[in-house]
Amino acid sequence: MMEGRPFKFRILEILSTESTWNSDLVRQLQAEYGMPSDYHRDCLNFDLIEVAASGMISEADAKIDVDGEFKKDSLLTLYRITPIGVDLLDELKAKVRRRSGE
Amino acid sequence: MDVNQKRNEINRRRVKYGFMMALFCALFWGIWYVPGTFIWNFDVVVDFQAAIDGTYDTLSNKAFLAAAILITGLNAAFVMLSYLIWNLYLGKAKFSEMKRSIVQLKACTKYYLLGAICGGPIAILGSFIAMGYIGGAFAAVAALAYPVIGTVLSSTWLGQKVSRRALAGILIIVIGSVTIYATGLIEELGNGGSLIGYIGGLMALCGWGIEGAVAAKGLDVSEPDVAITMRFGLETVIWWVIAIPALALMSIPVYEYAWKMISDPVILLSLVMLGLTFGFCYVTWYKSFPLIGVGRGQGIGSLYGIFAVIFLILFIGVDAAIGSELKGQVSLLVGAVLCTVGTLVMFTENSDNVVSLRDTGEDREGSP
Repeated sequence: MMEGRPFKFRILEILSTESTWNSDLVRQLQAEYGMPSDYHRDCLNFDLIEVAASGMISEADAKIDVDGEFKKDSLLTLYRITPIGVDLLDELKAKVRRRSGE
Repeated sequence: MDVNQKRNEINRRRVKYGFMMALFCALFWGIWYVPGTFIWNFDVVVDFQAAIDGTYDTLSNKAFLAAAILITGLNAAFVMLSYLIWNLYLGKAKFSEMKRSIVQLKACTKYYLLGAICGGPIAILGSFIAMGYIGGAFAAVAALAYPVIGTVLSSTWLGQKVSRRALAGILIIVIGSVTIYATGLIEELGNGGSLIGYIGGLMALCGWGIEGAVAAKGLDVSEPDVAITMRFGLETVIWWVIAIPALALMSIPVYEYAWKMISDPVILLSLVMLGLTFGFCYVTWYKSFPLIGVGRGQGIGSLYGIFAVIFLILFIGVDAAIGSELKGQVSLLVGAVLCTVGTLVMFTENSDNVVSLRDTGEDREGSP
């Protein structure tokens, strides 16, 4: 439902289905929104940091990216949605502008 | 470096970045008072008021308010121009995100419309009114307590956590900032001032306090660069589609004088300075909220008081900015020390306290 909608809407929706590593989540968003560069990768990762700081998602696990699969020596974080994140997503689903067929 | 060290480092870096953004906000906001004070003294602005009243002898409230609306409208338009350049620099992706966000009226845009109303026709207009009716010192000091309103709202409405240390820091900065302007304020109030000027000051205080909390709600679901462009886009619409055409319908020559202002190179330069300083003050203000919370962001933002004094001293001299009397200079020194202490109290807070700005509800029964 949130595909093609603002990044933070989509981040909450993806995490509402399952906990996801930031590397996978950012790659998925880069593919969906057509933002392939490293600059875009860092921008989207920063969006995740903002959403986590707001308390809508939280860290479930973390590890160092030793092999450089995302960004060498960076912290890879497994994010999960929090109860207030679920509440916000429900609120967004009720308020979001419907597309034809939705 | 192990995982815990790395996590702590990232958290520290985020909080530091948030504080730096708030500090830049204070810096740009302080500079904004220089062109904001100068603009009232240009002949074209005085001529505009005289054209409404038909005399230069005593300018009416109507003429003054019309000038305040024209200046605030031009301020919004030039801020918007600076955002167009800023977003061009950030790249096409920001414009695409803006397009996706602006159509989400109920979920997203309404917060920026509310922010535009609180910030524009209430706070910024109120501040220009206070600057013109009473004086720059009163205008600045009247709004300095805005973090108190922002903190109360962000805590009660948004559920953001405010630690005792952060609260202490905010209060020390507010007291310090008021101290800086104390002498000038007493002088200005002693000169009589006017009721409209006081109302303007109150508008600035409430408007900016409420805007911070409303913006933080919107920032939960949108990016700061996108959010601020939408907010100023909407404010520009309020001025140039509603307020300024309304003045024109009242036979006020507002378009003629708007053109005179932008075709004068010196006034144009002042408007560009207004747009750049206020534009980047707001960008950094909005960027700080998702990282350190409304209370801390606004508390550090209140340091604009001390920056305003520094830049006014640089541009208009010590006597005109704070007076030649010793008590004015002592109050500046005491205020500066208090502001620095308040900033350090917040800045040295353990970043673990700022991992999440809210209680996430993860201790709720059956939470995911």
